[in-house]
Amino acid sequence: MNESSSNISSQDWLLLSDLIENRLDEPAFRKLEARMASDQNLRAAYHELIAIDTHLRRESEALPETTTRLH
Amino acid sequence: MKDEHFLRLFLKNEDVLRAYARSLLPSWDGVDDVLQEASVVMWKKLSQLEEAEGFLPWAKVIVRLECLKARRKSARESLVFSDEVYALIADEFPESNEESMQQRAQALSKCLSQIDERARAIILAPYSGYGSVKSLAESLNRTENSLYKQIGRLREKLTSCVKQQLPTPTAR
Repeated sequence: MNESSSNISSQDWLLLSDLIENRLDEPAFRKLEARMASDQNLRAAYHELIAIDTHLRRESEALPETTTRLH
Repeated sequence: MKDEHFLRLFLKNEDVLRAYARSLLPSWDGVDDVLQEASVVMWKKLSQLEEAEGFLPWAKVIVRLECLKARRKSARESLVFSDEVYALIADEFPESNEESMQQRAQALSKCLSQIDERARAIILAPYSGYGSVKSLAESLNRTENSLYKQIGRLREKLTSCVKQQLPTPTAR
């Protein structure tokens, strides 16, 4: 599972992941937005990420205490 | 259409509508409010809906309009997509239904079970409340930034794994 799941680079995956976590500053956000406007692969990957995000959120509701216990 | 029939349809399609709203809003904040407002609008306009088969596309139009209202409010506090990108994302939302959502959820559970406990805890950290990633980073003696990068990489791997599990692509 080393290859990117969509036709985008791993760097773009990190950007999209930061996007959904609201971790991009405005210049980075606008740059990514401009690329998303013209790149269908980026938008498809965004939708895939949202789907995973939705299910992970649901999954975490079933396992509410697992994440902060690791040491 | 009777109220109880509407309620069943709404609950049946709630996860799809939730994902749709999330794709159009800057974060999960506001998704519940949008769905609540949208459900009230749907209930009021129920007479427009002729057949149950048309529920999801009809409901998505209403959710999209409610997201647009929420987006105008959140634009003061968050970075939001331009109208152009917003429209593209809304139009290209993959066709999904309750069955495909369940298949994806099952695939995700299977893929999650294949990663070790630490990685599972890391990828679930953003969903455990405000400050949970920072708290986990501290407990692992790592920076928040490095943990978010790992979360991004794990999301990519999970997405790839889930796609391999699914029988057919759900995106159009």
